[in-house]
Amino acid sequence: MKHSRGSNLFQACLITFMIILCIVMLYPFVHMLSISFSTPAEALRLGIHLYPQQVSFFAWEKVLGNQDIWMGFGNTVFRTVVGTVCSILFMSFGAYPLSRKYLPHRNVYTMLIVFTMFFSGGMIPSYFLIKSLGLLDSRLVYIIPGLISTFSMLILRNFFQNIPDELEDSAKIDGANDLRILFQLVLPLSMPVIATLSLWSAVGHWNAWFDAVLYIQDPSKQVLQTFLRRVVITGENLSMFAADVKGSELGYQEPIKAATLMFTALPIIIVYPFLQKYFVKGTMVGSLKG
Amino acid sequence: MMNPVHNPEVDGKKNIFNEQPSKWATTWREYKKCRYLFLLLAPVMIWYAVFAYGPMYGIQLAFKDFRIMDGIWGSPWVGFKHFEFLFFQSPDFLMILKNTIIISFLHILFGFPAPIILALLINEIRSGAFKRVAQSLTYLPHFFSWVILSGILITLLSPSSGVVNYLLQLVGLESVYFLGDPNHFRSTLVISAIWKEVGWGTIIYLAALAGVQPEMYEAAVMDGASRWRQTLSITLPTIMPVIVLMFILRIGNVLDAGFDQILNLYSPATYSVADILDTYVYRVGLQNFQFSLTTAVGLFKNVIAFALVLATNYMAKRFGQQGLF
Amino acid sequence: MRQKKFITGMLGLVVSASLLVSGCSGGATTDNSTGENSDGGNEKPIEISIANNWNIPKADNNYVQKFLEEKFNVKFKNISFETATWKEQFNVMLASGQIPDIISVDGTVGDVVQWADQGILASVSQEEIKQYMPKYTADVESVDPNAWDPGTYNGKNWGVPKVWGEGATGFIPAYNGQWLKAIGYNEPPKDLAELEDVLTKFMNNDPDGNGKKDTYGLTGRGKDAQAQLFNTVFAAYGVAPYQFKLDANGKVTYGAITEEARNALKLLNEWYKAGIIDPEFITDGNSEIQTKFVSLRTGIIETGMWHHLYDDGYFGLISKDKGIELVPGVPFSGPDGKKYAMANGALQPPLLFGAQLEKDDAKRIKILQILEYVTTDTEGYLTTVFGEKGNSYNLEGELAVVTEAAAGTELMSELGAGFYNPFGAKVSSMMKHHYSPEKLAFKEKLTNVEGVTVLSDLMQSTVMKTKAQYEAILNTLQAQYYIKAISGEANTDKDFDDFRSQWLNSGGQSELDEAQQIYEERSK
Repeated sequence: MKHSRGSNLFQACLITFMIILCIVMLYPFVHMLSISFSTPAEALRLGIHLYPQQVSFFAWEKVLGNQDIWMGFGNTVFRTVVGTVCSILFMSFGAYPLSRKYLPHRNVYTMLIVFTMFFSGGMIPSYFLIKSLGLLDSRLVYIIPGLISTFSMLILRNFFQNIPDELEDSAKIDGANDLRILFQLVLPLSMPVIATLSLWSAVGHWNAWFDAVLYIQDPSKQVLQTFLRRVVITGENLSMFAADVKGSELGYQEPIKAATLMFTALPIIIVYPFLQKYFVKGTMVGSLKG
Repeated sequence: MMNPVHNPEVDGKKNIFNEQPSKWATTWREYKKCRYLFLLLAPVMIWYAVFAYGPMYGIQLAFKDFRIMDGIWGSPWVGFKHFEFLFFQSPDFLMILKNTIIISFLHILFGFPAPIILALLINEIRSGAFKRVAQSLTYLPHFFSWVILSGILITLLSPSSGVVNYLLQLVGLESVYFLGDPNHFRSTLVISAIWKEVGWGTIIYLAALAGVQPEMYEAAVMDGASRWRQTLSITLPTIMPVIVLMFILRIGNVLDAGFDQILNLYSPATYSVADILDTYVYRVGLQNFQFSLTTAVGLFKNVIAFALVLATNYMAKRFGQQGLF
Repeated sequence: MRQKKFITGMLGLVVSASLLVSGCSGGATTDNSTGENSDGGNEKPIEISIANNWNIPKADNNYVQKFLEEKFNVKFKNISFETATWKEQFNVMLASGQIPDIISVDGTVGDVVQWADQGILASVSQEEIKQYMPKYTADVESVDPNAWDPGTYNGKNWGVPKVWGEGATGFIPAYNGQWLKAIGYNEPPKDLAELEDVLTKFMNNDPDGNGKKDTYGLTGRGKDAQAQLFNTVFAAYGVAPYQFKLDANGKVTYGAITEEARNALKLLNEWYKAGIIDPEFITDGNSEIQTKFVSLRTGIIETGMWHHLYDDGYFGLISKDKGIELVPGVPFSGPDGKKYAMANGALQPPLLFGAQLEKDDAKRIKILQILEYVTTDTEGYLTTVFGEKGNSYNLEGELAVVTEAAAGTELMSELGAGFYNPFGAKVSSMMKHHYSPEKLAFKEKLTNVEGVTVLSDLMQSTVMKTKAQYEAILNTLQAQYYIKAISGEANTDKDFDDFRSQWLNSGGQSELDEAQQIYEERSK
């Protein structure tokens, strides 16, 4: 396709701008990566960190060698995968009916849901609820209480609303009921927003730790973040605890913090490019337009 | 398109053959028609009843002096005591409220459009590979907490040794104490927040942009429309519903001026322009068992946010947009 | 119309759901973790629940736990809190009606007051504690005779006193040794005049020899710890701006509003104008202090206590890693020729007990006995603090040395070390196990300097109702003014007077009145 000169100029500026932007955005990542491989003094060096001038693998050894972290890793993977899938499913169950304008009392249900975004009872009543439902110390507590994000569900609802009515009408004429329409028409068409919401949900689960700490006692069910935080704190506590600790990690607090952070962020950063293929338009439209 | 629900009363078309059915019967019929929809909706509403409304009685703590052994129901009522403490006893309450509103306003004014603009720009990139790379890199700062980023920022923005001031001096400008000077602090907050979140924020808009039909662009090109015109008349209107929705939802956070960020970046030198509700309560709470005070502040913020959301929603509907409800 | 009825119906449903759920769940039933009011506990082991937010054991029935259980015929229930979220976890537990027997958390004295008021704690008499923990209480009182104060409230004693000996030692300035030599000083500066000279030379004479004028003498924690900001300079004037003290007439006053503070501010302002203190102190926090020292931007640290300056202390370690010779100095003598050092004080909030222990004599006494054992018996202390001899630690003389198997692994938490001794590193007679003879000598040298008076807060760890009410407001006021006074944005003449009256009017006077009252009662 031939482009005008103005358009080419614009494209050149755009690319330049993007390159600068990407460098600026990339910097914290490179900085922390470098620090995670640094010696104590190098980690504290004032200035830009693009690569460690004095290398040490100590921080990574500490983090990766910690057995608890791998146990937590498993639990976190569990909650991320199962939790995200369940969330998307249930949010679709909620979003679809609410997106149909002919749903009786639609505004009432919506209002009831929106209200909960602003008013909540707080930690202690929630704790009692979890307790009375028998969810304490169960992995289900990672899935069920956080099942629905009102924010996400509303976004999903709006996307559903914007699917042309003709598609639903023609499907109905073909004899499809609401369930079939949801699963075979609406969801496939909404892949980009579903990918987005899945990403949000997954990141939330991946980083979650407060609910785990509050509701789970059994260490074998604890999540990754809890153990990572402990690694950082233990390092800070050593000075009070015992003197003359050989192989002490005291002094390595900064690199350890950085390694912990990298360990958390990397899986998501690696997974994201695979999600990008969903950011294309759903292809069912053409087939139904007949 | 609405499928209108026929209500014999409204239509006025009464005849001797259909007597006016009872209200409950009409409702029942409507529900039966949408039974699959309610089948889907029911578990969701049950979830809300249990997990969102179940604990809601905890809100009364804002009006009580929480005595933990008496529980929430047993704790004594104190009416508006916590609110009085906040509003009247704190000499700086007005300043704190002013800071909260101004900073939040700035965040919304500049921080809300930023991801939209960036998403549109990314969308314009011709090279598919570069587009994907840009998408994957710009959201990286989102993963770093403000604890980490503040350390990086302090170094980068140092008046004497920071990169930013170095560049400023290269072009002949004077060095600026971004984080220590009350005159520059708020702008620093806004820009650094954009730096952290703009990439992540583009994701939802890129998802929306994926829904713009290519045929419409082709038609526009054939009509001789420039890229700019295409953006204005095709792209923006198509993603406008998402923008409006995100805006209304954003208003729901209007009194959250960025606690985490401010806590890590502010100092007594900038209290006067940066101390917000949440940082103030945090400092007060460090001294006391301020459970109830925190609940009260939270309630105060949420009531205002809710009211604003309703107002914004109303405005959006007036402009013909979809809104929240 | 229909909608309204429907809404009422739905709301009714929802409200009833809420009530139903809240009704079902736990209320305020105090659940005693054991019913055994046994007769001397000869038969059944007494069950003791212990909550701690440090040194979380990896699993139950660990080595240290079993060691104590066998020795005392008790059974432990371990309640671990995360260090960052202990308060929320604790609250939730309390709200469910459960109170741990032993509460070892990072509560402040404000927390102690609140919990005591709310009936969560057991009051235990001083006499009983002294009876069952004679050696420990003697040790504690030798560190600070006021050790019982933090736990005293409403005329009762709440818990076993805890002290931290190092807290009584002051902050000590430390220098980049190579820089001192470079500017011609063989010894650290001794008074303010010499300090000023050192600061000036650090700035002008390029002590790091890199040809650039990029070095400073001193910066401070303007961002996150205003109480430590230039504390050695204020101390030279005999004042610590965030502490209560007695004035010349013997009345209680507050450091920030004294004339000494004003004079110190004047001096600091001059130094700021001369550019010899880092103007970025305003936004420097703890990490910046370290970063700048290690990166050879500043030559002085004043936020370290002696143990930070030793080879294995934080400042010592990073200096060594960088090749900096860390030279500890001495407190500066000020205008009146005397030397002072600011200290946070040795007093700590006490170890607390759950309210149910007031009635359960057998358990309470058993706990006191166990505590006496783990704090004053060598084997008891070493085991509960360091774990298993030969496995996780070895003794070199008196010093406990953590083995390689234990350092850097989870062996300590597998054994349960640290969890069962809330007084680890807090018993002065046991510190010989923590510090090698060299380290002890280092401490002696640094902290036993002739003629140094340690400045600690008159109202240290004392519960003050007015403090809880006004402190946040007053501290904000003070922090803001002090920063401005040093940077010159505010002056130290009229503006200081204004600050003083504002401070008094915003609740400061009430604080002083209450402090005066408490002080007079104590002096009786």
